[in-house]
Amino acid sequence: MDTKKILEDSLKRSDESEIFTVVSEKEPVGFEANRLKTLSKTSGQGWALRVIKDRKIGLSTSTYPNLESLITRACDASDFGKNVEYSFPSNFLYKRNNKTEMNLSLDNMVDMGEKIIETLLKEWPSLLLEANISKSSGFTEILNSSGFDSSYEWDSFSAGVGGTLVKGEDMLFVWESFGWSEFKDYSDEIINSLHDQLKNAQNISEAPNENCPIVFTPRGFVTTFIEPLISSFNGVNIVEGVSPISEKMGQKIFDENITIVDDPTINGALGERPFDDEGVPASRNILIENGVVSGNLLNLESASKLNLEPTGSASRSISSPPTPSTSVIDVKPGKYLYKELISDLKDGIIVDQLLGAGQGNELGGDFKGNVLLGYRVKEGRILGRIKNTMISGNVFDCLKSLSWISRDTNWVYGSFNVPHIMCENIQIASST
Amino acid sequence: MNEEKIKNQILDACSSSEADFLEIRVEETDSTRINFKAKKLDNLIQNQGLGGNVRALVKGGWGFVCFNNLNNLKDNVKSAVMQAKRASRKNFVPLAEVKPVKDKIVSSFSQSASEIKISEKIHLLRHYNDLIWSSEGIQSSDLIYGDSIRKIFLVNSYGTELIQDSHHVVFRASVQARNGGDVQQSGFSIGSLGDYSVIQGLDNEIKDTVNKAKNQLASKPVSGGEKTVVLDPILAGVFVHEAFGHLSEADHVYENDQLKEMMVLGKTFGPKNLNIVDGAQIPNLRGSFSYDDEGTPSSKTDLIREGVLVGRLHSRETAAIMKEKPTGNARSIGYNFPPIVRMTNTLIENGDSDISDIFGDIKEGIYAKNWYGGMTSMEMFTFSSGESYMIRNGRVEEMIRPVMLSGNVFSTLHNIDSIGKDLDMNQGGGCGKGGQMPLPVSNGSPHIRIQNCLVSGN
Repeated sequence: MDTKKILEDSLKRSDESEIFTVVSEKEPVGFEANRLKTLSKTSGQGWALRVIKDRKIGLSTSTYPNLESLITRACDASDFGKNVEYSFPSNFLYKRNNKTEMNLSLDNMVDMGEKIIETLLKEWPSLLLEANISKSSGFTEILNSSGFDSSYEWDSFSAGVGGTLVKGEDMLFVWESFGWSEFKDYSDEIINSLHDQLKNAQNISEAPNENCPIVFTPRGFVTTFIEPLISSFNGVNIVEGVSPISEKMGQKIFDENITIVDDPTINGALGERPFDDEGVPASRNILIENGVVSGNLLNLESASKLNLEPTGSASRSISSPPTPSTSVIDVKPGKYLYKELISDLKDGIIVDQLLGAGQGNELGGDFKGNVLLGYRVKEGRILGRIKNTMISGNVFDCLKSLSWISRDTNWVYGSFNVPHIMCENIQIASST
Repeated sequence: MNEEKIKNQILDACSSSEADFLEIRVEETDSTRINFKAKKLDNLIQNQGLGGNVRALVKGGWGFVCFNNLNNLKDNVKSAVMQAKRASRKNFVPLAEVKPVKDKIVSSFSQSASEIKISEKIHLLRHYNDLIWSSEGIQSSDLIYGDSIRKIFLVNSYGTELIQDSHHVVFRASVQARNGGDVQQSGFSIGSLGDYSVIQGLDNEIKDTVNKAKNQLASKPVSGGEKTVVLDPILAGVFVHEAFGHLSEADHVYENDQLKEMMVLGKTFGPKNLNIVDGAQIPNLRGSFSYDDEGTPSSKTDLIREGVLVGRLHSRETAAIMKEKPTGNARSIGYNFPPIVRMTNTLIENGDSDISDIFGDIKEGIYAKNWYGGMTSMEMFTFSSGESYMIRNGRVEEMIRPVMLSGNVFSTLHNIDSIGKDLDMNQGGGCGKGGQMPLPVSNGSPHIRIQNCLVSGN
């Protein structure tokens, strides 16, 4: 669709206008029950038009090119729209990364899945595996009446493998996945990770009957803490006064070793981008520095309401308005290696996966869930898997003081670079 | 777009291929979303979409191609068949037979949401919003309204030609109250198959939500552990969905011999008075429809009868492999995903206990109401309440912070020791599986009591 024409035509009926275009293609290879099952190719396209008329904003979207109705609907919506005090941003120069075509055939992807499955089945013959190996590419473009006219292309590759092991009435689920903006052969990393999970979970161990220190693996950290923590840095929640940190800027409310940065400039990470989904330049955004609340996540609207500069944190799908969110989260590592830290642990549990996380009062920072994959540690040794155990706590209490942060970090989903941490102040409840 | 033109285009592309089975789906969508945040209208969005997919099956291997542009249908068919060939295998079972249908399903309404003027919808939402803000002590609020129409064309190489529309309305209100660093929220949601009247006349529900958010600030947390809990019909609906519904979806079981053994028909999962069913044939609920996304007529399936596993939910593929009958449970949230086995309307049937008997002999326990969410890993599952109260000596007493509950499918169902007779359905939820979310479903139950249920502290 001719986006310049949409911009031109929409400006005949409005004061400002912005057209956001996304085109994407994804080719996943799916394995089920240890065998290749489905090959897919999904293509998508969409246009979102925002207009501002008499300082009121309207939005309409479409997945097929129908210029007239897109404009009419956006202008109609602006009649009812909210008042905005910002304008769409103007153009800026940025350095484009050289994008090279991902050199990866379907056969390579099938081979990778087969190799992982074959290797794991040798050691665990009754394991049932499913895998999804996928490559995607896409194109994002923003054109607006302030002169912004830029686009970028992106690629991504991901590989995820899950295994089920059933023994009597015990079910064990293990999985691992990696992603990056270019192809990487993750076979060995996936095999090793699943191997370790299966080995550590082989025995079922007693859950502690009183509270003890809890170690969170990088993905345990992401599932448990990221959402309740990040929602309090979200500009929309700060504007509404429902963020517990809204009046804490500049105050030290976390452990002094905690530094968390939202960084869309990390080369290759999933979420890297030259500008956000409203055309604001991407930049390194420090949220917590040495325990001090140092930043927040703002889109154009929340920034204008708070009288601050936008932080380039707007994200949107084709059918929804831009809202603040994270791009690539980087958590500063600590001093010691995870293995050494575990070997010093007298009594505790490791949480790797939490079921039900994100289904509580996240605005207040609360988290709770059932430990889907977790282990009991005693005298520095992993004894086995714990089951039927729930943990609950508050992210602001937990992160006030940490026992330790590991030196080694993992990339979770290609978008979170996170160390292992250990904290206390978490309630444990389990079935007898 | 022109209905005949689309249909002929699809029929033409579907007419010849080397696939064992070929299916083409095209759909048009139109939706409106309005939300209020705090005192103001925050967003009004109108989305329209057109897209489709081709699904091909060759000797047990699937190809799936999805697109927005309808002009290359024949090329897309070719790609899907090529993909399916690449995934084909030596040993395979053909799809279960379903009689081909030629049908057109058009919903009828007394008051269709899509025909109500936007100004009228905004007027109603503004009224609810003003009602929230007429109360003191509110920090913020969210009202989310959405309606959608989806018109689906489905044609397959076995002779099915189907046009089916699907209308949905959803509404959620959530209110946040704050005291210093303590932020509490309360919410409720409701939905229908396109009938606008369900979102009218909700003043009492709105006032109730406001009061609950404020009362929650003053409520005390409880410590975790195993407790006697009573679930209201709404949360018990989420419970049955998570605790048992997902495990009855045959795609989790059909290729796993150990799981098949564990889920063998005839095995006892609960007490004698426990009966669980699922079915899109049950009319006028959010999971109701005439044909599933493979063109199989909807049905009503007994999952648990008198505590014993008697059935499960199938697509044509899982039914064939398990040598059972297709149940019409293959569903997708839209053209960009293939249909997979999903629930529709899932419920625990009425039992024989009076409310007074359910609470009567509880010395100390928790009454958990309303929902926040739920998840399952098959064996273990969690479900979160929207509001919770202490029960002492058979009486519902003070409000506590909403608890999350957790269970194990092999013990928790056996621990249900009382089932009421006040079945009610939760119409405000959506289900997620395999990246497809939210799929319209409903679930429900009468009040139930569970002994030794694991409760999180807070």
